[in-house]
Amino acid sequence: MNDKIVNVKIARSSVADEKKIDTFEVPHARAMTILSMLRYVNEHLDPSVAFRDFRCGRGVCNTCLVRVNGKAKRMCETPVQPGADILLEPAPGVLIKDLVVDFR
Amino acid sequence: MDNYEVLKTDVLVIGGGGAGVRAAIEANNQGMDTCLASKGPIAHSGLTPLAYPSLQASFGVSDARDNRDVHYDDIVKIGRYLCDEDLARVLVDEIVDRVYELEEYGVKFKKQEDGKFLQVHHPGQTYPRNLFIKKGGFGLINGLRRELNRRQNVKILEDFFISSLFSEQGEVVGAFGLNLKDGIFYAIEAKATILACGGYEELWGLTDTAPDSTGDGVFLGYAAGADVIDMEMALYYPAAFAWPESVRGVLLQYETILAKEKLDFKLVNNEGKEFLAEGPLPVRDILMRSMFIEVEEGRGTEHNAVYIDPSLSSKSPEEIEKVIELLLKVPDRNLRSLGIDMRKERLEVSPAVHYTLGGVHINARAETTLPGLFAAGENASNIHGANRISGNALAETQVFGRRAGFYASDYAKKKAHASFSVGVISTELQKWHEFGVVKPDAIGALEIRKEMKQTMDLSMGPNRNEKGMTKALNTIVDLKENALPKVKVTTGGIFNTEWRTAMEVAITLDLAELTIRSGLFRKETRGHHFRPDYPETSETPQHTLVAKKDQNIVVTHKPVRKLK
Repeated sequence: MNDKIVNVKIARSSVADEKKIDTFEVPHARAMTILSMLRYVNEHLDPSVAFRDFRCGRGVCNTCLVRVNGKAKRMCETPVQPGADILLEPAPGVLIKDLVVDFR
Repeated sequence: MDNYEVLKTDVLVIGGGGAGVRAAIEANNQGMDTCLASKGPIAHSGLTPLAYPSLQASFGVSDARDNRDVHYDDIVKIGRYLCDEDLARVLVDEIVDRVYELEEYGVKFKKQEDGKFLQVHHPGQTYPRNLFIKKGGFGLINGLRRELNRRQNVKILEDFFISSLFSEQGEVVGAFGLNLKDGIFYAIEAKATILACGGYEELWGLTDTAPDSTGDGVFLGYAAGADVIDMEMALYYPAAFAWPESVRGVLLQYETILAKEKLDFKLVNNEGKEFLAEGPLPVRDILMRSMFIEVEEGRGTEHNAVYIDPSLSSKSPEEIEKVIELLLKVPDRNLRSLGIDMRKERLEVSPAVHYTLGGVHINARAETTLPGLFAAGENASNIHGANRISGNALAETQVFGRRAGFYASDYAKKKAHASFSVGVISTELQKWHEFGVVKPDAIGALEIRKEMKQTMDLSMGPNRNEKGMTKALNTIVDLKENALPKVKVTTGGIFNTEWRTAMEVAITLDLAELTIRSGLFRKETRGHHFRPDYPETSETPQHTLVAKKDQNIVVTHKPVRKLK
C-alpha cells in the first residue's frame, strides 16, 4: 500500500435515487483536510461530486459537516493522514445530492 | 427549451450575507412582500460567515475622545481620499444605532466587566473602535438569520443562483436564475431589486474568502447597465498562508499576531531578517507593499511569500498563551489539529485578496444608476476608497443593508409589477444550456478557472504594471473568446454544482476583464493599487468607471463625491 495516497470512497446519489460508492485515489499533501481533498477530487478526478464548499474555514459554522467513516465531522478542520482509508457519506438531514444536505 | 416558473414579489434581495439579510428585514419592516434569493443557505454561504469578529462603531468606551467625526476622518484619510464622502458620513452616523438593533436581534458582543462594549484598536484607527462579535461573522449572520425567520411574508430561496436581471425601458423589473435544490429555472418579477452578493475575490487564486465570492452581483449590475466603479481596487489582507497548499488562503490575524502589545511575532524574509520599519504596525496597504518588496528583491520564500517568526517575540510563553487564549483560540486549535503550531514554527505568509473595494456605484440611498436597482455591502461601491480599515466591512453591511431595504421599499410602493418578455428568458436559458452542447475539443470549466486565477495572481496582484496587465488582458480575452465556448458540462438535474461552476467561470471572466481594464486605466498609485510604473498619486482622486455601451466596455473617470 502506498502511504502517500489517500483512498477515499464517496457515497453518490444518482438521478434514479440509486446509491452508489465511487472510489478515488488522492495524493496526500501536508496539512490536508477532508475539504482540500474533496477540492482535489473536483479539480482533477471528477467535477460532478457535489458537496458544500462554502465555509467559515474555522470550524464554527458547520456548513461542511459530513460523515467521515461513520462519524459527523466538519470537513474544514478534519485532518487527513497519509495512507488513510476514508468513507464519506452525507451528514444526517434531508439529502439533496451526494454529500449535500438541506439545512432546514 | 426548458420550462420555468414565475414568482412575484415587491422587493427582491439577491444575496444572503449580512447586507442582504439586513435589507430583507428592513423591507419586511416597511410592510413589503419580500423575497431573498441566496446562492447557498443563509449563514452557510457568502462572505459574512468567515468574517473576523471586528465591527467598527464609535462608542468611545476605550477612549472618550472617539466619536463619529473621528471615525469619518479615519475612513477618508485611510481610504486615500477615494471614498464617496456622503457614503462614509452615513456609515459613521448610523452604525451605532445598527449595533443596538443587532443586540435586539440576539447578536452577542464581548463586553467589559462594567457591561460596556469591549473596544480594541486596529491599524488606521485614531482611537480603539472595533467591537468584538461573539463567534465572529458567523455569530452576526446567524443572529440576523434568526431575526429574519421570525418575520412573516418573507420568502427565502436558498441554493438559488440568480444569473441575470431583467429591465424594461431602463428600469430593473426582476431577475432570472436556477434553483439548485429542485433544478428548475425561475423568473422573479420584482418592483425593486437589491444586489447584496458580496465581492469578486474568486478572480484570484490567493484569496482568503469563500469560494462562492464570484462577484455575481457586480456582474448583474454591470450587465444590466449600472455604473460599476473602482474594479481595480482589490484590498489585500497582509497575511494569509501561502503554503502548505491545503491551507493556502487561510488568513492569519496579523493585527494580533504582529502587534507589539499582543503576540509581537516578527515578519522576516528568507534571510531571517526583520524588514518592517520601527514603530507601530502599519496599515494594510503599506504593510503589504513592504512584504511585496522583499519578494520582488529576491528575499522571499519559494512560494513568493515571507515568514512570521514566533522566536523573535519579546513576550514570555505565558503572555503568548494568554493572548492566544483570548483572541486566537479557535484558529489556533484548528491549525494545531493539522500539525501547524504558530508558537513553534515559522509560518509562510503572503498578502491575499480579502475584500474588493470596487462594485456597483451607489448613492447614500443605496440606489444604483439604474431605476429599480439598489446595492449594499461589498457588492456596492465606494464607501471605503482605495483602502479599508478593519471593522468597516461588517459595519457597512448593516448600515447600507438597512438603507437598501428602506429605499427599495419606498420605490416599490410607487410601482406596479412589470412582466418581462419571453424573449429575454429564452436568451438566458440558451446561455445556460450552451454549456451542455457536445463540442469537439471540449474542456472543463475548472481548467479555465485555474488559468484565470494564475493570470490574476501574477499580473493583477499587489504589484501591477502596464506590461503585465496588458498581457493578462490578452490572456483573459483569449479565455473568454476561445476557451469558454468549448466548456462542456453535464447539465440539468438537482444540485448540479458543475453547471453552476461553469456559469460562475463565465461571470468571473467578464469581471476579470473589467478589473484589468480598470487597472490599466488608473495610471497612478493609490491605496491598494500599487503601480511601480506610475508611483505618483494624482492630486484629484477619481473613480474608474466601467460601463457597458452597445456591448462594448467603456472605461472613463467619474468624480468622487466630496462633502466640503
